[in-house]
Amino acid sequence: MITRRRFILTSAAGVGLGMLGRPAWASEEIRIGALNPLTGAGSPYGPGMQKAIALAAEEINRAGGPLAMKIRLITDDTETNPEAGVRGAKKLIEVNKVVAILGTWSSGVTMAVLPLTIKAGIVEMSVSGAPEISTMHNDGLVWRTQASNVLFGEAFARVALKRGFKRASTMAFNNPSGLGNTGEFAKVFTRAGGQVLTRVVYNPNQASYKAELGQALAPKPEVIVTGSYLPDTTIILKEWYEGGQSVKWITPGWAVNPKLIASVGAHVVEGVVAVDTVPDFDSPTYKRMNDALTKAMGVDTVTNPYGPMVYDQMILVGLAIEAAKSPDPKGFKSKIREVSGPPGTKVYSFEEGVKELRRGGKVNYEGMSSKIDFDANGDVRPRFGIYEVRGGKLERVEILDLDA
Amino acid sequence: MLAFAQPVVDGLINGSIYALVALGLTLAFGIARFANVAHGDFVTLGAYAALWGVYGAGLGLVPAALVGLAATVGAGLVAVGLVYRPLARRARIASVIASIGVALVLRHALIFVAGTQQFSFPIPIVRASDFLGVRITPKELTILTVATLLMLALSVALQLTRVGKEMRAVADDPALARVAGIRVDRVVTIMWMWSLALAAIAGMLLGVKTVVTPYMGWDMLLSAFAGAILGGIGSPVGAVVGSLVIGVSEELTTLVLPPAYRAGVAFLIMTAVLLVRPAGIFGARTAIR
Amino acid sequence: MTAYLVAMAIIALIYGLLALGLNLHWGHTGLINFGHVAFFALGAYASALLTLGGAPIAVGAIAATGLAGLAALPIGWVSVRLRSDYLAIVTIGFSEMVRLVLLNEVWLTRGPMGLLGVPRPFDALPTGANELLYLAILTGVVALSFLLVERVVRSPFGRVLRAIREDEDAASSLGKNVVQFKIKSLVLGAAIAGLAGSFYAHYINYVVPDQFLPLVTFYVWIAVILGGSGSNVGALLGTGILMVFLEGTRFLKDWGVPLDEVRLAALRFVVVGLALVLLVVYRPQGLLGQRDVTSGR
Repeated sequence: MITRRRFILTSAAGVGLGMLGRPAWASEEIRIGALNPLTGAGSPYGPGMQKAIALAAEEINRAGGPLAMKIRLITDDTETNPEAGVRGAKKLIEVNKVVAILGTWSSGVTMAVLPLTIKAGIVEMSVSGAPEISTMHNDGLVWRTQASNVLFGEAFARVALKRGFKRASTMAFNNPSGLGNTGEFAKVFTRAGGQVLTRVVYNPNQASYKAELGQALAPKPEVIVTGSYLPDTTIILKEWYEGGQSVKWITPGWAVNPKLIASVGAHVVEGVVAVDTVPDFDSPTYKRMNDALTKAMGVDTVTNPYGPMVYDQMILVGLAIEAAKSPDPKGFKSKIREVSGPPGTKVYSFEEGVKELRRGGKVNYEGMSSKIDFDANGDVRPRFGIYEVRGGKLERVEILDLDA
Repeated sequence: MLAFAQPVVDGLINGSIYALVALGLTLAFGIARFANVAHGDFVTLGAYAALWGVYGAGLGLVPAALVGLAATVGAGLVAVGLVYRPLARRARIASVIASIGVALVLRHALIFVAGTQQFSFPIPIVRASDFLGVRITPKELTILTVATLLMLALSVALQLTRVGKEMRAVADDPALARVAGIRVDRVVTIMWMWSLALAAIAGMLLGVKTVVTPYMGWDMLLSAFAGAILGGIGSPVGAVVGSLVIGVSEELTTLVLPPAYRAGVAFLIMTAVLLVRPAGIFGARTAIR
Repeated sequence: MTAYLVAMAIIALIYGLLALGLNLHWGHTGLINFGHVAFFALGAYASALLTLGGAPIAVGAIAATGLAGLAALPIGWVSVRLRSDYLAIVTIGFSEMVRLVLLNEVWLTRGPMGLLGVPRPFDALPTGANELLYLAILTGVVALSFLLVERVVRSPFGRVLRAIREDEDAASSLGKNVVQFKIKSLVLGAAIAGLAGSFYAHYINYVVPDQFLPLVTFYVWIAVILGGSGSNVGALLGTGILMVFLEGTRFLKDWGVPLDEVRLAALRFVVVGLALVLLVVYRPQGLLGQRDVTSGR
């Protein structure tokens, strides 16, 4: 006879025995590290990025989670500084035992963190540009959803050539991103017949860049192309304007933003051109999620294009885990490329993707930030927005598709 | 020759800011008799307090400057009363180490409140005027003027006022000064107030010239120390002359060395002075041992 | 969690080596060396560069020790002519100069990008075991260094050092070559710091100038003063307490304290600075020191 007590006891025994059979990593949750520049030069973007990853994680968990497990986010701050980034990564890896780290922004930080994540065998996804990230030996663990400096350099060069410039100087922040952007620009520009007159490199945290600026201006270039960040660009543009020598500027989008314009005054930056990647405005994923993401970040997805990039990273990890039927990076790392590109049904959300995968099919996730079709190196090819400061406002004057 | 004119002018402007800091250092050295490592962070505090005056309290530049002065002198006197005065009778090294502690507290309290990002004073950016091939902006001219006026005011105060004379007496020989009826404690306190006021103004001028960051004072401390030592520690005239020389040397070096080594110039000059002629240019020929 | 404790212990032991070296300089010889981080940096870079160039790690460690020791020679010569606070300023300047060179000579050090992939010994071992072995080796090295420094301190050489600390002129008038003794003390303490640098480089596997700010020197000073200048046991004890504080506060965020990383770090420094001031004013002999090194002039 089945009494209620017996029912409860046998059920409990059943569950208990069931739990004994669980593998070590199956703790009902998947731990993901969000390592973003909450402070430092990347701080205009880091907090938004953290929220974007959280938004994606919530969406995934609401749909049941990959393999019916919940995503748990552990966040940390890189301080846009490699040393702090390494400490944060160590903690995430050794203490929190995450299976993936998402959203490192500065190339300097990513380059310092990658040896750790590769050694630990976990997945790392960044929004950094350093060319080295494409070529380092990484066991299929390293991916990025931002254009590499190689693409940036090409974009800079096309902008410069289109505006008829033939003589350029470059000023680079002394880190992989600054050197990468200006180095790649120089390559493409000179190949197309332009002249790079001098290449200046400067160190961070100086109160004045007058001497370095002087070096860049000495050969009388038509344009200065920078690989720089907001704090140093602020000082450089101020000192340039005071000095009075005429020259045009092409900078990365993260170096010139409304905050800088307010800080130095519209008259100083009039005509400065800024180049950055833009989200994939035509993507159904973008159309569906843009409002929610804008609300979560507090700024729109053009002002912070990194939000969509890391949102995509989280969704990809979720889909890869489902496709691999394993939350172990050794298992799901190989599925990342598979769920990101053809062949497969195009999907525009985690829920859609999981349904298709459980049906036994393949998926091709089209992201907010780009089509996210990873190439052999784990890189993507987003589109670029070309902006110009006009009347104190950053106006987008062109969308540049390098493949067009 | 003309290629040197710009660096020399730039160097004089930087040097005049160093001079204000060096004057504060040399006063403290001569009268309280130790190297106040926290001095740079009082410079930083002056800039931040003035910045708060402008953005937090909505004041104009001059009232905000007064806020900067008051905050720095106030905070400094707290440090003097709680830390420097009690240590005055102990080994000099105790004051130096304690001043490092004060520096850490000050700098990181500022970071705690304001974060690590840079700020700017709301001074409009204008093009420099060209004087015979040398470019100088209105705000640089203002900095030079303010610094020069302050240096003159200080030298008048030291030479002609009663307190100034008492200060020089205490610097020479505190015991004798006490015997002569000078209230040494009071004089030392006033000396600190002047030293801190100079630091505060230097901070504001530096913030106007470039940007305000938590490390701005600490970053220039070595140059100011070098100026004070080159000129002869304890000598206000020396502090000014030495600082101007350091400022100009730093700028001239950028013509041959990578700009980042600018800070190395101050260090090398200072070390050379200490080894070869420790009294500096104007200092008394006392041993530095 | 054990992984984290092992990591913390390794860093604490590395700082312990730095403290032993500085204690020799300041606690035993009375030398105001505020540039200690320079020896640490030189050791780390030397070891990293050599091993990245293919040398075995042991060679890197020996080179680190040697280079740091050599670098102490100019400080030694200079220290004789300079009064305490001047030596403090000059040594701070020295360590900043070293850092500037490391930052700017990109062809050698890769400047602010730093040296990546500095090899870890016994790499073939799985992660947990590797760190434990590292910890074991480091513990052995620290123990040996401690014994070495203790022997030096209790020897006739050590007695002269203490005499110099108390009254340099008296020691000199007794016929002791003060310069030689100071230099030897500096070189030995610096060499130990260089060795610490090597261990640091091969543990973090990444060396960048930002890791060698004057702040590191100040931490070591606090550890030495806290433990009691002149006591080697005190130096190690002070380091331990300091590390527990610094690393322990990292977890405040996890326990719900609503402060971001930057604020937390700033608060940590404020506490450290206050501790320094309070120690100097109220308990200059630290925990285990027998004498007040700050009395007299």
